[in-house]
Amino acid sequence: MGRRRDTRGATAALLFVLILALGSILTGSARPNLSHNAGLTAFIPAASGGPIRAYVTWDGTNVTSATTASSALSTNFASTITLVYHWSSTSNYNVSDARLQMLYFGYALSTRDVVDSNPQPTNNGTFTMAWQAGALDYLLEGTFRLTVSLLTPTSTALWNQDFYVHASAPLKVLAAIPIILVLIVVYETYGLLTSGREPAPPKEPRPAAPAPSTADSKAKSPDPKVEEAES
Amino acid sequence: MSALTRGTGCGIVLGLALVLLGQQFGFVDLSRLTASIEYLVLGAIVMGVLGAIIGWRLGRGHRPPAPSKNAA
Repeated sequence: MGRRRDTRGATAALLFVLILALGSILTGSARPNLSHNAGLTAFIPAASGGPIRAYVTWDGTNVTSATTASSALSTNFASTITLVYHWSSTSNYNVSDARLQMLYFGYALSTRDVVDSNPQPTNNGTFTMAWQAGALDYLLEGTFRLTVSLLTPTSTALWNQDFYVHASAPLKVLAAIPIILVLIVVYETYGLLTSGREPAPPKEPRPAAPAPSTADSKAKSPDPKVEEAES
Repeated sequence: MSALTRGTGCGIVLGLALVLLGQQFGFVDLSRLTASIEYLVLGAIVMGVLGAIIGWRLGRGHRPPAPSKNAA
């Protein structure tokens, strides 16, 4: 019985991992290939409603083509990614900083800046950034929201744009966090399937019946000899 | 610890781990804090209830081994 449960637990865990791996592969293959240049010629109005117009390319692809998680740009954190920021305006602005932020749980997991140390007021400009995820390559994969922004010397955002990237680990799971999570899922699934073997909590003993009083015991004494002796 | 308690515990951990794993495989977007917490709480509650039911059901069906004669 116990051995059968062991086998059942292990089989369920194995099936679960296979389903996850299959889902991951299918998701990867269904993702559109966005390696072509999508609409590079058109300037995109400021997503933040700011005073300048700008667009950013991610390895040649306009990031406005990936504004939802389902249309995320496929990438690999191991490679160096080139981002080019183009901006223009009808009036002159001091744009000194092009920023890229990678967000996870609402917090910036990674921030990279390209700073112009001596900005001059002008009505257009370009920043080029070579971004490497660094240690994140070994740590994470999955879909992440990134924010690109253009800032003034006083760190005021003149323009920003959100977009999504889907970073793949080698062989889909060879990063630290997914491996740890898969191990936790397998362990807990096994624990759940074998939870029936936990011993039941000990039953509380029933309260003892109240001891009968001596008078009653005498009155109801079943021994006829005792009654005769008393009389 | 009873089977129901253990099932609930395993279910809650599984719910949290599955949401995080879903993000790693690109099914879930956890870039916004509020939405991420909602996903995690929902996952923990759903899987916790499911784990409790599974644990309770398995615990009911399990017959503890008979005590050996030497145990007395």
